[in-house]
Amino acid sequence: MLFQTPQFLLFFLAVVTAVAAVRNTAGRKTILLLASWFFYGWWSPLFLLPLLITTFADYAIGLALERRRSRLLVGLSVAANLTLLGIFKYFDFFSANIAALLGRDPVLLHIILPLGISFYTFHSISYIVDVYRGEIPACRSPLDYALFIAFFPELVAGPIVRGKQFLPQLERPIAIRIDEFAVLRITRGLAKKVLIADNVAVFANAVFADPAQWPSIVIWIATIAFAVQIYCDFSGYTDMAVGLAHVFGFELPVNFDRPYFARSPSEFWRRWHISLSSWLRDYLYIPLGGNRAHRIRNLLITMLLGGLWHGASWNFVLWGALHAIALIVWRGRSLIATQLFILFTWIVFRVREPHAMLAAMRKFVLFDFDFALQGRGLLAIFFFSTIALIALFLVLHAIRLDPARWSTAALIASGLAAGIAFFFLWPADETPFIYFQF
Amino acid sequence: MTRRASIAVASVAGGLILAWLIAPLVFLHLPNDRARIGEVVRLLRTHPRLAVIGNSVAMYGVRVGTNLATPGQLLSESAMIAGELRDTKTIVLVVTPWQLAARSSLNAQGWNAWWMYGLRPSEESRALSGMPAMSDWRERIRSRWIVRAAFESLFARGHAAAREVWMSREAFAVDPHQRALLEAIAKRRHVVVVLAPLSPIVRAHYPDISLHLENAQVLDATHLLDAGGFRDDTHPNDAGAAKLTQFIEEHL
Repeated sequence: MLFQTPQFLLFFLAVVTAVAAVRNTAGRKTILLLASWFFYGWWSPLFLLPLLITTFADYAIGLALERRRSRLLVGLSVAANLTLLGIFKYFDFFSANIAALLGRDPVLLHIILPLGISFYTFHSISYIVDVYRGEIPACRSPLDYALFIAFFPELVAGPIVRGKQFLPQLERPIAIRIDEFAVLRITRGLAKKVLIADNVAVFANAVFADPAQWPSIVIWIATIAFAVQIYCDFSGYTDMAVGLAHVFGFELPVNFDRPYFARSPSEFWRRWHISLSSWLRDYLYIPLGGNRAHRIRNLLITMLLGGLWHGASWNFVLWGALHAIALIVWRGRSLIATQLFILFTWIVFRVREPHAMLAAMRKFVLFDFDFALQGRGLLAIFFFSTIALIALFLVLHAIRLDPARWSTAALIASGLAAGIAFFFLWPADETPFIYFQF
Repeated sequence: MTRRASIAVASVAGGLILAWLIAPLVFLHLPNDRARIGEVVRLLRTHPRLAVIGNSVAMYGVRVGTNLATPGQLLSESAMIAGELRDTKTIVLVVTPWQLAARSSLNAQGWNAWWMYGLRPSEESRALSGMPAMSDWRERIRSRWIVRAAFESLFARGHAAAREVWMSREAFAVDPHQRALLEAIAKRRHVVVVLAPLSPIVRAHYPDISLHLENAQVLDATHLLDAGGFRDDTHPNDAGAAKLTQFIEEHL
């Protein structure tokens, strides 16, 4: 059930109606929890199994940790969470690679990766560590804890919410707030996703399916298109998640701050997927020693694991390694140099097949000055409208629109324009959010 | 819901409804590479006595009767047009070897174009051509593909892609479904099937082409033109078109 589908709209309206119909907070939380489990089980009821194991195991460990601060219990919880994640997400990958090294047939489980497992595993680990550190008390209500882990707006693709951000919000009454903030956030997120991300994706997907056949100029435009796609796809999801959560009275953390205006790789990571980068900083990089000791080692471990978090594939490891090296060696601040580096790394992120990746990287770096674009079938993959959408995105990315300050007439005009744009530019096929696969 | 939130939601919904209402106008006025279908739908209503159907080879190469050919017209589309030509005495259907060799079906966008340009085929024509069930409210929504297609076509003038559709074959054989479709058309209307003229370069790929139909006259024009009769690999030029037209007229 994707956010941009009619099924989700019906589901959401039903949940809002049900929550509004119930007067007491416990009842409202129960409805939200059941709705969240229903939302998650919609993809596959089997996905609920690891979610429930994580939820109730860490709920119990959290209570035990409050009674007795035990490194063993924290280790047990983290190990259990990572084992679950490892089995579902990484077992086949490591098994295939080890078997290839040993020249044997791999043992493969062929398990379908439960959506959002990387996200809720990190929710849960941060909670356990925060309780152990004494930063938050253990959650006494199983209902509250289960809702913290499963809350449907952010369950499958974040932001990665920490217990200390979310659990205190469960102590106040749940109220329905369908206000301007919620409507504008959801609309903005939807526009990013279906008007820009899904439309430029057609071109990027076609080019990166076989990068060797295209000249450098097309590879460059496809790389920029993918940079726009992944940002609009992910930040669009986040905007919708923030707006949907706001309707039920919850505030989710900021996840993006115009990352394509970053002037260094470290600034990029302060602006891109902030909830992940800050999680890695607080729960991995600093415990490893941070800047105090073995900084290079710590950065390499953090970014390699950060890359691997995105998926069980070597291209994500390489992507993390490139960012780690940049964080280690980069000096100075330059918008253009930083963004060129970010674009280059998106090729590594996007193209998994090694030969295709190398072909795309070579054409990106060694510009071939081949501008003979006629007869290559570019019109069929929306070359010109992709360029127009990229230009539109850059303008919108550069200016900060604040509809809250708009007059009513301006609000109506923009709403009408948005409605017309949704109608004419909504892609025919539903496209899942990119980060769902992580 | 707060007042401004209501206004925002209502405005977006209003925009969606407005777009749905104006979708047919937008469709008719935006340029695109299927615009020829609009002209064909208009010509269909003139109830021609002699009609030519087929793809761009027929469109550019035959100047007899009323030309209802469209670029890339599939046999299923030809079947639909033939089904709608109830008052037509003779239908000339020009077919190319690559149309005969492989079964192809029109995508949702293609059917949508016929619908949006106003064609409402009879049940018989729909069944013959395999046209899916369609409704006006849904086709208006589906017609949004025209916006991006029109934007691309703004830049496409004089930049047509090299289409070598004829090259993808190993050994020629008429696909049974395509044969059945031709015979189904011929069973309902008087049809003259013309095997399109082939340029030497294309002919070299189809040395063994032949077609025999139970209930239709077949004219073989594959060797009618030499290289001087074509403006590219597949389409006759003016001289080629004149010769092909004369060839057809002589056999009608």
